[in-house]
Amino acid sequence: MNRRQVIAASLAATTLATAARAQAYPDKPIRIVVPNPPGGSADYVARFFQVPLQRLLGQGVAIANVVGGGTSIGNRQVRDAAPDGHTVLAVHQALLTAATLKVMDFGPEAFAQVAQVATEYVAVVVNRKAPYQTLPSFLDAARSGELKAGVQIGAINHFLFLSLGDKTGVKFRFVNTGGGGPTRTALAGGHVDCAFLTVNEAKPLVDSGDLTILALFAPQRLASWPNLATAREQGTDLLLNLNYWWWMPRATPRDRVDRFAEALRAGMDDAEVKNKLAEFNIVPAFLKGAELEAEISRQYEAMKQLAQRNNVTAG
Amino acid sequence: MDLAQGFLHLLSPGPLGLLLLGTFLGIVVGALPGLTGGALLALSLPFTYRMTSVDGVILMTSMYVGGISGGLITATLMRIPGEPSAVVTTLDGFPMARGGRPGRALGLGISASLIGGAISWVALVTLSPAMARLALVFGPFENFALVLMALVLIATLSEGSVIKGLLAGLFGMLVSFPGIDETSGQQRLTFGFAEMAGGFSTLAVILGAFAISQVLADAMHAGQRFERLDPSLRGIFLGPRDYARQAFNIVRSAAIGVWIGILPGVGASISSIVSYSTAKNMSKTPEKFGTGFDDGIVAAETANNANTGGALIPMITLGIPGSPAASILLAALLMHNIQPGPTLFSNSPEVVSALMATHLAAHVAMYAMMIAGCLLIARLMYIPRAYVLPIVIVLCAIGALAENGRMFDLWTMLAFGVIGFGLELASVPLGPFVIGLILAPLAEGQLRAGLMASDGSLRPLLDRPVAFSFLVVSIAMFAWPLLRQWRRRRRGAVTT
Repeated sequence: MNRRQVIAASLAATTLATAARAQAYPDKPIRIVVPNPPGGSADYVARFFQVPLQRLLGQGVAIANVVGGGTSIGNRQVRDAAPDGHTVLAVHQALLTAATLKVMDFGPEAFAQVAQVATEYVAVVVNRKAPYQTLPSFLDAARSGELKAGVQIGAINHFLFLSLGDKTGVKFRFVNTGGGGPTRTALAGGHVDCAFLTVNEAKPLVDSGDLTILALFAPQRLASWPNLATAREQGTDLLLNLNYWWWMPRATPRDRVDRFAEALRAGMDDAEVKNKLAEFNIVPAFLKGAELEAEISRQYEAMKQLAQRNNVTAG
Repeated sequence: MDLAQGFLHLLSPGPLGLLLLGTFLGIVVGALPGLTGGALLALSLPFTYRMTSVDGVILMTSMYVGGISGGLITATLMRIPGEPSAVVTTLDGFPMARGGRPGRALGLGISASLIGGAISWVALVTLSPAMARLALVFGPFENFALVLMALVLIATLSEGSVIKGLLAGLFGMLVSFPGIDETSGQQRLTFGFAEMAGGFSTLAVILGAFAISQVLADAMHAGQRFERLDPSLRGIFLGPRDYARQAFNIVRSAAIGVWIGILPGVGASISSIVSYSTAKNMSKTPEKFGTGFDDGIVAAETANNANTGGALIPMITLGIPGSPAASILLAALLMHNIQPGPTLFSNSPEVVSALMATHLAAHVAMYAMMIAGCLLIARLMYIPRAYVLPIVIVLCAIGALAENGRMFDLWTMLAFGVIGFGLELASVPLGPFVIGLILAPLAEGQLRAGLMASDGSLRPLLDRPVAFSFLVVSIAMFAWPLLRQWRRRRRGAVTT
């Protein structure tokens, strides 16, 4: 064997080894970065899939909560990770809001978009003692522009109100109460007048007689809570939801992205995952590939325009 | 009734095993500098997902209690707080241990932890429903005034120079500012560094300022050994006279601990700092604090354990955790779709009774384990520092990294180690620094939320009776030490 042959042979061997390794994905434990703290819906939806993913991929799956900077810290960590499919990001529209507010200098285009697994519809909630207990009477009262909406400025619950305002022409006075838990409490205490909450967040205080869910912004009523009216039935044709999305670094090989997306899809058939999603009133809704990319870019464009019209972007 | 069932359930082998395991792990992790009870809870979270909700609650509550308690060990024996909540325990615990009474110092801390926890348990069991309703009354202005009451303690906490104390407090506030401005959603003071969008991690800053700076200070004389002064552990059990003398201090410190525990997001470190400085302020002999004084250890350790019961009250009744560690406990509940709230007591009574029973039982288990292990633990003091310091640094690095998985937090910790060392050299007190660091973001967030609700008017601070009364108390508390100093100076001027 002359020198050239040796080089050719070793090159071929390397290529083969690379190919073998590509097939062997995943060949080490997978790290799922959740850029929200433990206990939020973004966190527990990722955790529902942890065990099925381990089974389906044959590797350990660890969840790391990398919190801070309006999810930008965790998002950036995954964007900059090795694009080998072993680092995955699980985050909903918070990634879009962070990009829209220019907290991050990149957006959804900086990632390989893996899949959507589920969607969770949200509801407008008010205090039980308030004079308005239906969506139309609430919107009438809100036309004064004096109603205080409990939100986290720049976060998704802020944008939900902007969407509602955009649709109905109503303006709200925003009060920075934070995420679901503290906002719910501020609402029950009468410190704000309305809030967007998930059904699960609102339920305990609805049961206790403190809060009323005015309308669920879903296409139809929930099987688990049939007397909860939708916004559409009450004359406001608007759908508002959280989408649970999974992402990888941009340069991750397509076959690895597909392999992971396939595992997520198969994981949705897992009995435990199904039960958990149903129990949390989260609707399974799988999307991947071009469909997913179209949906994300549609939402991102809409959000940027909304921010511009309402003057929430400083940058 | 349910509570009795909760205790009975703890006597069966499985739950009892979880209780003892959780408490033990909590104490060990709590005692190790750098590794906090909160980190232990976060690491255990995936395991509880596969357990029943009751088992998960038993394991995590006992870890929480053990973690808060274990911090006093290293604080007392090595002057390195094992937990941020044991920061002020170092002030009197270490001098007493160094002065030849390690048994007494540990005994005071361990007993105070038990009693503080037990008092907060009573509050947890009896006051929870009422507190939940009361807490609803508290809007942004009330919360702001309440935080202000603790914030003004910066002035009273400054041993020696009030100016240095204020400077340290302001510096703490400054350190808390970079990151996302909550009320605009925009970045501030990040100087264009993307990593700064997350701000400085409070844990990393505290680890740096208290643990790493102490390592640096100790490294100056690493070869030095402490002479064995008192091998026996005389004084580990407190007598009735001790309890009688400390009764008022214990009740006051427990009340402070519970109350600060209820405040969302404040955590146990502030409750022990506030309780310690209140004890010092109200003492007839404030000069004895910091020299190995019983009252200082008791105030600190009663309050930080009382904080646990307080922090659980809003967690189970409102779904708002009163401390960072309680927020992970809450996450464990949420993953079982147990939504806290007024209906929790009727919907999942078994979870509530398990939580309450474990809170008390874990305190008893903690007391037994720590008293039994005292003889062994106290030897820590005599291990040559040269062996201990590298281990402390490694543990702190793991702790800082484990929180968020970011190298940036590690650099933050090391930088604040150097800064903390420098501040100590300049005898700038670190207590006010921590108060500013933790409370400024809360005060700012609440005030600005209030201003958004009132359309920019500060009137509600005067109009709303609860907010107004807290404001008056804050002003009085701020003025008191200044007034006392001024009077002392005037009297001094008259006599000379």
